[in-house]
Amino acid sequence: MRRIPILAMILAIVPAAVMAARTQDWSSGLTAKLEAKASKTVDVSLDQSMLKFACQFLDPKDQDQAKAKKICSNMQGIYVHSFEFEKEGDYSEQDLNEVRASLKGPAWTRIVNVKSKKDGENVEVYFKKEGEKFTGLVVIATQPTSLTFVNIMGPIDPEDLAKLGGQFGIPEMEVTHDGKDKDKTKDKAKEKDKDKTQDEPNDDDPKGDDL
Amino acid sequence: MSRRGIEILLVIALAVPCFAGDREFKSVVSAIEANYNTKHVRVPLLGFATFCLHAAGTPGTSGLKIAVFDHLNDSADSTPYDFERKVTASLGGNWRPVVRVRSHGNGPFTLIFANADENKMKMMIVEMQSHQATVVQVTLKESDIRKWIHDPGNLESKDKDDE
Repeated sequence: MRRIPILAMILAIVPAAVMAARTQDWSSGLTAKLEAKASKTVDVSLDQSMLKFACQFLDPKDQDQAKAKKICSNMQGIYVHSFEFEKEGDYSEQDLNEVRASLKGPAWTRIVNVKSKKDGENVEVYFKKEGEKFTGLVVIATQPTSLTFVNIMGPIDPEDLAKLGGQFGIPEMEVTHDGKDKDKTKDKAKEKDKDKTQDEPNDDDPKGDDL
Repeated sequence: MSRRGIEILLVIALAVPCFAGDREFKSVVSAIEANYNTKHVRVPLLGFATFCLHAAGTPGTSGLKIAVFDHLNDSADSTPYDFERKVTASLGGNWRPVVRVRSHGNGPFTLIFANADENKMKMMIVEMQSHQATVVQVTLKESDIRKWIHDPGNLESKDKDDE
């Protein structure tokens, strides 16, 4: 009989542990090396409970806030890691490749890769797909003396990304929906700055060769 | 059970959340004191100042607690990572690290933890900078924050209307 409470405890703990593992920030353990090289590090972590709390402040009667509330109520977490470096070359391409390597699994697809020759600013956006649904997103924004990683966890439509643009360090984007599986994401910066080049790999070319 | 016994139980039950809030704040203060082998500075009239803030009805906040440390010992036997782990461990599982700002080496750093439930959020802010540290705990009430966000200049009149 004494085993029943223990079994009940295990049954209660296991789903919680599984949920905790599922909502683990993608970049956990990946950024320690960069942090050692950075002159300043800023981490913002909003897990599900924090997002749920923040969502309460959004007014459902307001059209824009209602949309944002709908998006954030489904999210499992938003994590932002930002690194500032004293001078160019303090972080290497190898450091970045180690981060990118974690996004090479079959579930991950790089949708956007914007490169600016003029100011050295690059933005890469990766989506995590499970079945037909997008279940996560990672933005890697690099400049010669700064790096920013944004990880949004939870079901998110590429069109929702446009609504989140300009917040949480996510670049402003324009999304056009062209058919069932042909979402395209365009950075407005491309239109403004002709020096920038952009790759838009689709589902047929998920990884992109220039990673 | 006698009426007196029930009254005592009620008082204890009502006091427990207050002690819990105090305990978390004190545990962070103790972690810093132990890590740097120091004691927090007694700020003159701090109690009176917090009472005035409470009486003035600072919008959306309550339960303000402040501890200030001066002349922190440089020879503390731990890295900032170790110290962060000690502070996190002293707070317990309900507290989530929300913001962390760190500078290289032993430069200034800030930790902000939050503990949110359905209608309020407690925040613990630990800031360390060149031999000084400050710990602040504050409770944000969701209803007051919402009022303040939607109409920052009219909170007081709304409160009166609500009454």
